[in-house]
Amino acid sequence: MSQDEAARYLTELGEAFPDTRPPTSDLLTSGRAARRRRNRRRMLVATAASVLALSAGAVVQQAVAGNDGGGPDRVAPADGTEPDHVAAADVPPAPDGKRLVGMGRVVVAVPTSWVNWQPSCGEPDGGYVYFEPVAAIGCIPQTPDNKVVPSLGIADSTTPESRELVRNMNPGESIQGLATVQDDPACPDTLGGACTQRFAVPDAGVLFTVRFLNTSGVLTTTFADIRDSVSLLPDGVTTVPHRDDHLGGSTGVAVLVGEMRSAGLEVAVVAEPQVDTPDGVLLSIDPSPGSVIRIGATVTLTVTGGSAGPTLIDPTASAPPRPAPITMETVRRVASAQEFRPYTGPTPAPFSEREALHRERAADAYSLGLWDVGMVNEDTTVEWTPVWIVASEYLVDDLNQLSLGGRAGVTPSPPPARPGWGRSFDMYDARTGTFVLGVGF
Amino acid sequence: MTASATDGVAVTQDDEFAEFASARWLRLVRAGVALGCSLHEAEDLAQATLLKCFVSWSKVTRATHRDAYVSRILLNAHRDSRRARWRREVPVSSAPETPQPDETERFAAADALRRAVQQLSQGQREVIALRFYVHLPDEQIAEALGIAPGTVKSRMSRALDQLATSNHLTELRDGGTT
Repeated sequence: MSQDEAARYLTELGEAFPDTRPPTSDLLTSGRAARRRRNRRRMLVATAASVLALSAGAVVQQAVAGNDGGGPDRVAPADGTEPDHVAAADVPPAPDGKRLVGMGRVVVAVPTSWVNWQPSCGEPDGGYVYFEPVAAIGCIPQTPDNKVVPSLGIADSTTPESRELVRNMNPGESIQGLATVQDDPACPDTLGGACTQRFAVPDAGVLFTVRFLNTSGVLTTTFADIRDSVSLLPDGVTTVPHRDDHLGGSTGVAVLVGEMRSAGLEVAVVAEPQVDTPDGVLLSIDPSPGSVIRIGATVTLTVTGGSAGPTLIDPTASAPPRPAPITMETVRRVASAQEFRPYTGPTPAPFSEREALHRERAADAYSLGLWDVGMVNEDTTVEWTPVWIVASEYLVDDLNQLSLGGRAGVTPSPPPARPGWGRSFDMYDARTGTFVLGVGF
Repeated sequence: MTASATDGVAVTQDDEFAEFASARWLRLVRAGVALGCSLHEAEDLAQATLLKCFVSWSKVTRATHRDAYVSRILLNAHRDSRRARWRREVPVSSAPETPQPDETERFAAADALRRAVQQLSQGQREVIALRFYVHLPDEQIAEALGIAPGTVKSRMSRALDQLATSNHLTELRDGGTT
C-alpha cells in the first residue's frame, strides 16, 4: 500500500460513519448551567479586591507522585496506616477489606479494591467509586463498551435534579439520628444483569447510587452491605472534597482549592511539568477524594505546569485577611439592578435553609435569610421570587485561570496568578431550590 | 439588567451554537475515534468539546481559525484524563432527539478506524485526526497542536508511511470488518 492509498483508506473509514446528530438539547441545558457558574467566577475576577503575591518555586524535596495517566486516583491504605491524614482515635474503623468513602460527613464502606474512577478512555478492572458532577446528577458513568461492574456513585442531594430523585424515595432506617430514604432496585435489560438502587441522607445532603450485579458468581457486595455501612463522621473529621468534572482545567483546580479550604483543609498545590499538556490540568488529589481526613490536615493537588521540575506552590504562605462578612446592605449595593422586600413566600420554606447553605458548597457559608428578590423588567414591572440568600468567602490561587481551549497562539498567554479572596452571594428559590441569581465580587 | 433582554441574547446564541454543533458533530466524533477512543468515548469527547465551546462561545466565534480553536479544545479534553462520561439513567426532560441509525453499523465503522490507528503514536494520531477528520490545513494543525508546521508534515509523513508499509491496513481493508 502506498501513502496515497493509506490516506484514501483513512478517508473512506471516516465516510463509513453513519450520520448522527449531536444531543443539542442536553448540550444547551448543561452548557447554560456551566456558563452560569463560569460567569459568576468571571465577575469575581473582574472586581476581585485583594491580591497577594504568590510564593512559587520552592522545590519539593520529596518525590512527587507521577502522572496517573488517566488511571484511578491512588487509593489510600485502608488499614488505618495513614497517620498523616487521620488521627486513628477520631475515625470509625473500616471493616476488614473495606475503606470508608463519602461526601461531607457521611461515609459508607466499600471494598478496598474499589478504586476512585474518573471516567475516561480507559476502564476500571473491578468495582469503582465515582462522584457525580452537579450538572449530570442522576447519571451513571458509562464504562467503555458498556462493561458492567459494581460501583458506588456519590452526589450532592440538594440540587433540583437530586431533590426530584429523593422526593420519590421511600423512608428507610435512621442512621445516628439522620433519616435515610431509598428507592427500589432497577434492573433494566440494558444494564446486562446489573441493578441500580439509590439511597440518600437528605439532611446531610448526600445521595448514593449503588450498582450491583444480580447474576450469580461474582456478587461480592450488595446494596444492603453499602447502605447499612453508612455512618456520620464525628466532629473534627471530614472527607476530601471531589472535583466537579464540568469545571475543567485550571478553573476546576481553583474552585476545588476554595472548596477544600472551606471544608477546613490545608491545600498544597504541586506543579509538575507534563510534555505536551496545557498547564493547570489536575493530575491527582492525595488523599483521594471522598476519603476520610482530619480537619486541618493537608490535601496535595498535583497539577500540570512549570518546566523546571516539580515545584510547590504555597497559596497559604501569606494569605490576606478575610474580608468582612456580606450583609444585606452589601447585597443591595452589589445587586443594585434588583429590588428586595421582606419574604412573602410559603412558611416554612419548602427548600430549607440547611439545603440552601449546602448548595453554596462551602462549609462556612452563611445565610442572610429569606427575602423576595425582584427582577425589574424593561417596562418597570417587577417579577418577585422568594429566595434564600446565602453568602460565602473563599480564597483561590488564581482568579485569572478561566480560559478554555488552551494556548498555541489562539488565546493570549495567561497573566500572572492572582490569588485572593472571592466573595459571593447566591439566591435559591425558597420553593424549589432553583438557582435564581448569583454574584461574585 | 432585565430578564427579557437577557433571554433575547441567549436565544440567538443558542441557535447559532446548535447549528455549529450539528455541522461539527460527526467530524469531532471521527476525530475522537482517530485519537484512539471507542465510539461511545468519542461521542462523549465530542459532547464535552461542544459543551466547552458553548460555555466560551464568544471566544470560539472570535477565533481567527475557528476549527483550529475547536480542535485545541478537543485535544485538551482528550488529554485531560479527568474528562467525564456520563449516561443519564433517569429520564429528566425528554427522550433522545433523533433515533440513532443501526448500532452495528456505527460500531463497525468506528472499530475499523480505531484498529487502523492502533499502531500509531498519540502525536501521529493527532495529526491524522485533524487532517482527515476535522479537515484542517497543515498550518492550522500546527496552531492547534502548538507545534511547527514542519513537524506536522514530518509527523504526517511518518504516520502515513507506517500505515502504508505495515500490512496492518491492507489486512484490515481486505479482511472486511472481522
